[in-house]
Amino acid sequence: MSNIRRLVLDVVKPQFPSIIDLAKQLADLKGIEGVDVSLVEMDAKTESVKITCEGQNIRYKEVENVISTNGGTVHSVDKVSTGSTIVEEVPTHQDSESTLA
Amino acid sequence: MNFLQEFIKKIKEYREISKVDKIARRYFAMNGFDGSLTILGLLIGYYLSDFDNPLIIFVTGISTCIAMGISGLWGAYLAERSERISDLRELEKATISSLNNTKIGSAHRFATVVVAVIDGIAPFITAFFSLIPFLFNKYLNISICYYISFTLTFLALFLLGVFLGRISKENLFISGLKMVVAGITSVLISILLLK
Repeated sequence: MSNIRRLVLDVVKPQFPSIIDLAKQLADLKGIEGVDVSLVEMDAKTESVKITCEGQNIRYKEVENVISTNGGTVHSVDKVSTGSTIVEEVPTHQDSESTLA
Repeated sequence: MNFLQEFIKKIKEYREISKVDKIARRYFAMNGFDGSLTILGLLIGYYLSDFDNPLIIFVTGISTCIAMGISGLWGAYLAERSERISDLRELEKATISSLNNTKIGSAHRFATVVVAVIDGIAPFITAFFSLIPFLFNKYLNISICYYISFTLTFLALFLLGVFLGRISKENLFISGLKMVVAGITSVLISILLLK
């Protein structure tokens, strides 16, 4: 079976622990080479963050476990890249906002 | 060593998540103050009634210390636990998941225990501190025991004031003095009422 090379998650988490701690814990996981956690939205108690992980063999269950241990919930898996190469999404005509009259 | 480092790291994390330091400091000062003033009241009562049995004074004092300690520990544990469970439930509504088995749940439980222990120990320590002279009644005259005890009580009050002054970064001497004034007020009212 192919390896997960990139994972993009939409996560809701409490404000503590901070995204710094969360990012460090995710980066410590085996198979993950780099992590990006971006704050999308926040309110009095929670934060919505976008987590991007890249590596040679990301184990989704472990990532989910770290997120839930820190009180977070994965709302959606927004992007997955698998295989020996990371393939970027290619824009097509259908993605264009303007349409011909 | 690795286990110890991990343990310290975990405690640091729990402290950060639960913000227990502020609450613990507050409870320590409040209940330490209660302990000192309670024992001061007891000692003033004995002194004004010319009571001269140091053993009974010490035993009564210790029983009072223990009662204050248990009261503090129990009361704080139940109160803090209720508040933290309520906070956790509010947070669970926002995250739409159970937080019991998360670091947040663990941090809240840790904070509950820490606050309860401090609430129990603080009055016990400050009150016991005032009773120490009566342990040496074989070597000290009862009046000397009383005077040293009063001195230690006011010293404890002063040090509590200094502790609070350090937190609020105010003049330490003035902060200490404010606490001592409470002790003096207690003594004066007792004297006025009983004499």
